[in-house]
Order: sequence, then C-alpha cells, then structure tokens
Amino acid sequence: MIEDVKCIIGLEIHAQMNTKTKIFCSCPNSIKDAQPNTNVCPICLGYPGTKPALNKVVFENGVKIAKALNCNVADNIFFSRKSYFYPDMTKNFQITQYEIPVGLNGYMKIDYKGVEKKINIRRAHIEEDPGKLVHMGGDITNSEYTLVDYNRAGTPLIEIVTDPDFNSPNEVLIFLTKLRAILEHLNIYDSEMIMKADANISVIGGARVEVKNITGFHNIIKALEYEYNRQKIMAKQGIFVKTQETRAYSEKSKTTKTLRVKESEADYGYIFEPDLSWQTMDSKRMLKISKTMNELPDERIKRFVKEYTLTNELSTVLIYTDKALADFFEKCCKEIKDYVLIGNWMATHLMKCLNYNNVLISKSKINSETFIDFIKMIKSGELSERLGKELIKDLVSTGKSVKELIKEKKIKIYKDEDVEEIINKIITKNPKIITDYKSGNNNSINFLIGEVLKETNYGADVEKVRKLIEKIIK
Amino acid sequence: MDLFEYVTNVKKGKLSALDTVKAAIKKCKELNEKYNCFVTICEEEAIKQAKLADKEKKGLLCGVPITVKDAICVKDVECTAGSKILKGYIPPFDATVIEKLKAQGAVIIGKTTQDEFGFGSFSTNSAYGIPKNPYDISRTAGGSSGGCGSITQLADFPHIGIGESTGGSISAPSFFCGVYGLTPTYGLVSRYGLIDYANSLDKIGPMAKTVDEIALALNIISGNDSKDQTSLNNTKIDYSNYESIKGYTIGLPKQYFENASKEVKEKINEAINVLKKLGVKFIDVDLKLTKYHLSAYYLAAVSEASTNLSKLDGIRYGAKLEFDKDIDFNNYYSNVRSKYFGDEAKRRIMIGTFARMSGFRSQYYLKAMKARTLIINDYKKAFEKCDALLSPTMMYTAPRFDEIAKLDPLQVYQSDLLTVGPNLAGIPMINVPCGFDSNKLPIGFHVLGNHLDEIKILSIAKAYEEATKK
Repeated sequence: MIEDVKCIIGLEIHAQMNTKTKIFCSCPNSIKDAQPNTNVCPICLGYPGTKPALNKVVFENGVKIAKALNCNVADNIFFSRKSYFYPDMTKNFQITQYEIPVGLNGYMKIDYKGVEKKINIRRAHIEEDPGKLVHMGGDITNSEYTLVDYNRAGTPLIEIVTDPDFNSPNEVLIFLTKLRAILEHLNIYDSEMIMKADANISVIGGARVEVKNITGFHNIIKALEYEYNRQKIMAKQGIFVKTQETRAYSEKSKTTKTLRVKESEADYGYIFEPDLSWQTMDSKRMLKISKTMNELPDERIKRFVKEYTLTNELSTVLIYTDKALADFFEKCCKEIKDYVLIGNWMATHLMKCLNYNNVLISKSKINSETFIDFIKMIKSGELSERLGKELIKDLVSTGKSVKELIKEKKIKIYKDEDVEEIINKIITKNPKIITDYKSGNNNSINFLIGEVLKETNYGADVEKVRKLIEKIIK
Repeated sequence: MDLFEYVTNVKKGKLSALDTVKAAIKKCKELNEKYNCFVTICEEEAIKQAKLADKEKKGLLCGVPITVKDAICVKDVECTAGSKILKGYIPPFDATVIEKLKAQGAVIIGKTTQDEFGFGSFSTNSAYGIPKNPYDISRTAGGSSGGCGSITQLADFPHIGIGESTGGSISAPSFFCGVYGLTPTYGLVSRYGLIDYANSLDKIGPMAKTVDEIALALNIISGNDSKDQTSLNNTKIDYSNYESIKGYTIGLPKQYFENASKEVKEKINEAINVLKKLGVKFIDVDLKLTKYHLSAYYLAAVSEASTNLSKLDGIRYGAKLEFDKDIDFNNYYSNVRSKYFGDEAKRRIMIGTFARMSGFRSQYYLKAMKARTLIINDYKKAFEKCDALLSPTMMYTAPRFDEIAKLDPLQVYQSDLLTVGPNLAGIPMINVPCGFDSNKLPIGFHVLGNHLDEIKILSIAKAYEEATKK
C-alpha cells in the first residue's frame, strides 16, 4: 500500500506582519498597487550612512507570537546580520536573529483525526523581508533577465521553525490553519499578508528534499502533497532520493523541480547587528505586552462552546477559517440570541457563498446588519429555507438589504393568513385528505404540505406550513 | 580671528558670513593644491548657507565655515568616504550632526580627504589624493581623518573640523597636525548619516585649534537621536563648563609609554610637569590587557567592516559597470568590487569575512568580542582609582611618505597601538598639542576619560591650554 510510506516534514514558515510601517524605517508597510521602487526610502534601500531603527511594534508582535507558541522568551534579545549576496537584498545582508531569537523551544498542539499531537517549535525570530525579483520572460531558471522591486524590502517577517514532527501534508494543513488563526487573533497577520515556507520533506529510507520558497497557504499544502506523492511513488518502486536536494514548486504546473543537488551548507558569517541595541525583556515589559495580547483561538473556541452553545466543530470552523468570520458571528450574536441558528447558517450557506465567490467576509458586500435581518426572517418563518438559500447569494454579491432584494426580485412573502388561505383552498379541493388523516393516515398530511409548498412555489416555510395545517385540521 | 568673536560679529551684522565663507573657500582651493585636504569643496551649497546665516543671524556657529570628513553625509553633496566605489553617491539627506550644525548657522564648505572607509593610519589609502602634513608636505597628516587634521591646522579663518574615529582616526591626525581632537564616548554623538566602517566602534567628533571650540562643537553635535538606536539618552550638559583639575588623579598606563620615541616621551613628561603644578596627582596604572588591544580591535573592526561594504555592489548607487546579459549578478558584483575597491579595503573584506566564517567565527570574531568586554573592564578598573588616564597619543611624530611606503600592513596596524584600546572601550579621548620635536613636528598627549567623562578630559585639556598660553 502506497499509503504505508511514512513521511517526515519540517517547516520554516515566514509570515509578513501587518504593521503600519516597515521594520526599520517609516515607509508604509502596505505595498499593494504601488509602482515598483516607489515605496522606499534611503533606510530601506540601505543607502550608505543610514541606520535601521527598530519598529517597537514589530518586536512586541514577535514576543506575542513567541508566547502564543509556548516559547521561552529570553531576557536579552538581539539582532544579527546574515550575510549573503543577492540582488533582492539592499544591503547584501539581512537583519535577522541568530543566537538569541525572540522565541525558543515552544510547541503547538494540533488535533489530527481526533488525536492530539504536539508539534515542537524550535524557534521564532524576527527579520526583514528582502525586495522582490521579477523574472522577465520566464521563471528563475529560464528568464531572459530579472528586474528588482524593493517596495517589499523591510516588510517585517516572523519566521517560525518547527521540528520535523509532521507525518503528512494534512497535519501541516491543520498546523498552518491554526497558526494563521493565532496570528490573526494577535492582530499581526491578515488576508493581505503573505505566508511563505521552506519545507523539508522525506520518506523513510530517502534523503531530505527541501522545497524552497513556496508562496501562499494553499501552495504550501499543494507542494507538499505533490512532493509526498512523488517520493511515495518512487519509494513503491524502490527508488529513493539519494542526496539532499533543493527543489522549487511551480504554481503553474503544480509540480516541483530540481533547483540544485547537495551543496555545502551556506556560510552566512553571522555577526551581532551593531546598529541595533539589545532589547531587554524584564517582567514589567513582558506583563505590558501580555496585557495587550488578545484572546487566542483555542480559548475562543472554548468560549464559543460555553457562551453560545455551539458545537466544538462549528466553533472551530468559524474561528479557524477566518477570524473575521468569527468576529462577524459575535457581532450578530449581540443583536439576536439565536446563536446556533446564526452559526449554522454561517458555517453552511454563508461560507458556501463566500467560497463560491472566492471572497473573504471582510471583502464581501454583506454586513452584519443585513445578516441579522435575514436570520430574523428565517426564524419567524417569513423566509423559507429554500428562499433563504436563494437570497443569501444575492446578499453576499450585491450588499443590498433583505427588503430591497425581496422587492427587487418580486418575492412573495407568505404570511400566516396567506398560507391558511392556501391550505383551506387545497382542503376544499381534496376533502379526502381530512378523512384519511382522521383515519390515521399520516402520509396524507405530507401530501398536503407538498401541495401547499407547490402552490407557494416553495416560498413558504415547511415547518410553518405543517404547524398551520395541524392547527386547521384539528 | 577668534571664532566666538566672529560669530558675535556676524550676528550683529558687523561681519559678513558670505564674505568670510567666500574667502575661506578661496583659501581652501589654494591650500588644496598643495595639501590635498578636500575630496569636495561645496561652494554652491556653502554660499547658500552663508547667505542664510547673514539673513537669520542666529545660532552658536552663525556663519562659521565647517569642514567634514567625507564619510559623513551632507545632503546633495557627493559623499565617497574616500572610495572610488562611491563615486557619484549623492545622499538625499543630512547626517544628524550636519543637521545640528546647520541648525546653529554653520556653513559646510567641504568634505575632507580620508583613507578609504577609514581604513588606514596615514590617509595613504585615499582614492582621492593623499592629504599632506601642514608642517612638512613630505609627511603624513595622519589618518584616517587626515584631510580634516590638515585643514584644521591650516585654516586662517574661523573653522571647526568634523572628523570620525573608529580606532584612532581623530586622535592620530590631531597629533600629527598639532590640533585638538576629541573622540567622544561611543553613542554620545549620533552616527546617523555616517558611512559605516565598524558600527560598534565609529564615533564622530570635532577637531579644532582651541579647547573652547571643541567644547562648543560637542555641545552642538551630542545628544540622543531616534534615528540611531545606539545613541545614548543621557542628560545634556554644557561641556564648556570646565571643572577645576586641582586634586585630580591621573593614571599613567605604563604599557603606553614603552614604545614611544624619546622625543615624544620627553614632551609628554614636560606636560605632566605642567599638570602637576596645577595640582594634579599622577599614579602608575597597569593595563594588563594592552597586548590584546590590536588583535581584538582589528578583528572586531574588520568583521563589521566586511559586512558594511557588502552593499556596495554597483546596482543602486555609486560606481557602476555596463550591465551585460552574459554576466550573472555574482560576476557583476565581483567585477564592480574588484575594479573600484582599493587594496586595503579588499584586504579588510577578506580578513573580516574569514574572521566570521563558520569554523573560525568562535576563534576570531566571537573571541574578539569577548576580549573587548574584558578590555572595557580593564579600563573601568583603572578609572576606579583615577579621574583620567594620560599617555602619548602616537608613538612617534609624523612619518615621511617614503617611510610609510616601506611598512607592511601589520606595521601600519601597529602604529595604532595607543589609540585602539580606548576606541575599543568606547571611552572618550582628546589629543592635546604639547610642543614639537626637533623636526618641528607636533607632539600631543592623549587624555582618556571614563565613559561620559568628557567634561573631565576637556577640563584637563583646557587647564593645560591656559597654563601654556604664550
């Protein structure tokens, strides 16, 4: 069995932080849509004479992440210079952390197929993002020439290094989902930010393959799945990766290909970063930072179960999928108390529409007020489930209110008296139903419900119809 | 003319800053032919600033011509740090010290010659001509702030020079040119806008003909700067508020006298006698770790330097080569760096890269950093017993260029023996001119203070200056 081939995966994850300004200068840290090399200043371009000045928020974010990942936070933390020549680097060294990073020896517990698993975190460190290379007329292996855009240079990054504790790409997916939720809950990361990974993956008996620089949450999983399958199929044929290899993932072909085969470990010639002072983490500062730490996903799931009586699964879906979704849920819960109804409608139909439109709730046109109105009408039975499913698509894509849509789409809302009138009409046409019912044939009532729904073009709510029929017949 | 008097007169409108600056520039151009003090004379900017000084009539340096070591960035003025690889680099910003000087009405008239990136003791590693000693042009003005030392001695107009020291680059030229030169405590003066040699060692400081001018300049350029996170956040004090040195105890580190020439020692002893008469008590001090100063200093300095120079790759600023599609970026970098770096820069890149390579890092770079801490403690221990330390600044007076040419790199490094220790410890020091040798070449003594004890070393320098005034 192919599935029997066990794999080992370790990750180095880089996540951008959503701070207002870059890590060492006052350039805005939002580079979307900026023309190349316009969101730069002498400091992030590393002009001779300039000095970096550490953005305190970046450092504190790093401490928060370290705490959230159960890491040890040292008393004195400093930065280092990692030297290597590469055109995306404005200084040909990267300011990062080496000997004493912001977090050491932590862990994250993940829930895989109902079993709790501990993933060890070796370290978490803060560093600067380099610029971006734009390969013209191809990719890194075959482009005609390459341009450099330094807009991204100086975007703050957190790098998280795990032990090789994963045994499947699925475990990685769960880990990354939870990691993303943690970062989102700390208000450090959002949908505009980019997550990248270098992943080491091997199957038992084979040498390690490093898949470098995979950009984006989903690509990380896809690259690992591909690479796992590749090695697995090879292993089944008795072929193993013999020498350590570096591969690149292509988003286009959804495959990995060899970049280089075993080379000596790069020597980065680390020195202490002499332009930045040591950061002292005394208990006072730690307390201050801890106080500003938001509720983390695990705590929030527990609270959702307790406070809103949601199931663990439903809470997890809302919180892990997108923090904004969980926030949206809580906003609605402030207005109406039908928590489970809200949760279920969100997790099933609302999320389906968002996925279908490939849009996040924060970017979709639906707002909590509209959704609250909608849920109220579902609850009262004014909207049938079928109509609801229909309407929610438009709520997401148009941003119009429920009333506007009802008017626009000329949807008939069936009030109690309307339904009663229809029931009476059908009974008059089919007097046999009553006698059948009274002689104990329950199917007759289902027939009646079906007829009423047909008559309302499924615009009336089933439960409401059933109740009204029972009322009339009795 | 006395600088303070000049400033008063400009502010009163009795003297024109513009006339003075124009005359100063004319003089500098003449001097430059012979002494090669300048990489750039920034006439246009200087005239603008002089006119502004005449108009605004304010600031402690209103209308005073200032020269600046080329490694310090002045907005819109080419800044090369003495290297060909930075040819054409025009910083779009002022260094913090320049901002502060300009805010006091100072007029930056030129950028002075130096060893490439400060790599040298005699300014012979300058890519823009070698500055000459004001007393004998066949001799060095010292390094690496050599142009600054030379013009400070030569200027016949009100003037302050701004130099920079990593391992003695203010003290050495001050000694060889016979001027006062103060290297402040590390972090007292912002390094923002200084092209790095070794960031954990670099210090900007003033060079001038009188102690009062030094104190004035320090008052202006010192202070915390959010743009330099290694700058100190101590309370501002007035450095011209000298103390009485009567009752001071000054230590004489015995290791610092061992290699000094006979003539230098004689003059230092005369100076010691002057100070004794002023009520100073002298004691012998043993700085046991002196033998490690040079190796610790050079390892720390070149390790940092080799990373600092990495950014100079011919892509973003400075010297460039034609881009060629057949040459990959690695080869492009190599070609640019091979062509434009001088020999000493290349040597220090190689040594520095080696010292921090894995496998050697703990033996060299990390060991130097540890030794540095011990050396700091060695000085700290000495300052428990005395207010300041005194020694010769250099072991011998200005050597001739032909003599320098015969020295191998190690012998050049050894010439810094007396200055690298205090630079490594980040303590303040000042060169005080105290006479001439038989060749009529200046000699000076070095006063070293504890961290942030600038006021003490200035007080000693001032008392000596007063006592020996002709």
